Amino acid sequence: MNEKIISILTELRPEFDFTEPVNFIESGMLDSFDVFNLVTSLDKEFGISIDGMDVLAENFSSVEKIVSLLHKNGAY
Amino acid sequence: MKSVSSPDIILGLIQKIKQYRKGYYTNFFLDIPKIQLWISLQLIEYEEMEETVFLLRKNSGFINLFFITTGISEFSGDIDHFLKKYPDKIFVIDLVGSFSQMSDIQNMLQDRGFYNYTTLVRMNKINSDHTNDDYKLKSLSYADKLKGFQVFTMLRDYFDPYAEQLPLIEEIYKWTGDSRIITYSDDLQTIQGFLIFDLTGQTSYLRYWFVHPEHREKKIGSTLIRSFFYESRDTKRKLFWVIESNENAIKRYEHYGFKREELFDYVMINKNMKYE
Repeated sequence: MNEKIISILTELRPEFDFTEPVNFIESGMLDSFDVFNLVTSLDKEFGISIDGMDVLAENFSSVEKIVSLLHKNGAY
Repeated sequence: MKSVSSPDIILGLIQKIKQYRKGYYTNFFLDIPKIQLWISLQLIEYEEMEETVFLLRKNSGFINLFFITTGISEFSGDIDHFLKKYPDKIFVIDLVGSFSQMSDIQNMLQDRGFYNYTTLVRMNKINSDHTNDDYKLKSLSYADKLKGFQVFTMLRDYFDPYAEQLPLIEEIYKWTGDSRIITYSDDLQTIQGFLIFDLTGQTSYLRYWFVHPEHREKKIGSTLIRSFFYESRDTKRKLFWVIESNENAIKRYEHYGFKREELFDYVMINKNMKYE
């Protein structure tokens, strides 16, 4: 799952290295608007619908956070 | 309408909508420093309807309307009641997303008397080259408070208040303190052009870029943009929002390496007006 997430992030924002251990939001790699687009890609790739209540910047600050978010929303 | 006296009130309202556990749909992004400024100037109020909270940011002559709701169908009923309560107010709603994401809500708002005032598109420039040219020309300088005030006046005179979300003078003064406003002036007094930018980690935002009409065709704009590239030389991407119908501006940005994204800001207004 980690690799798939990194691949989606890289497709969305190819200019950044999402394997870096940094906070994606604080480092400016993703902003609120990128998160909107990311949710659409994750929904499509994992066949889920991420709950709107979970679409908060802090849930997208690292690959690990995104993995927990996906598990919470029914992705395996 | 009730006044918002602290960010906690907004957090409580968000929580209330979430507690319905039916969905969460909003055009509001929580930016605590900005909210605190609006609160200190008494510019923000709220109104609660069934399953929607409306946040109203007062401007001169109109209100920027933000919503937090459980879903579009609930929002459509609530905004009906809301608009009936305030029939004489002018509301501007920004909807940000892709065309397909926003079409349902745009149609719903159009059915309720809103018009598409204009559309902005986000453009980005990914760093492929690193400029090390230091653009510390004599005619360029960071704005001090006095120049900041001149910039504020020019923004008011030449930018569209519905489409551009113009900054408050307090924000301008903060940006002058942070060296985020670069001005161009031949005589070191009268500003002929300016540029406002921001830096967040690996991303830089070009907020405003302007050359006074009397001083165009003198390469002031290109000097300013090069100074921005220098200021943001350590970032990997540069972002900018531009009016989609302004083809000349888009061509200019493309000339400097910016490319369009599939991300739009649809500016809706409940008055039959169009951006010109």
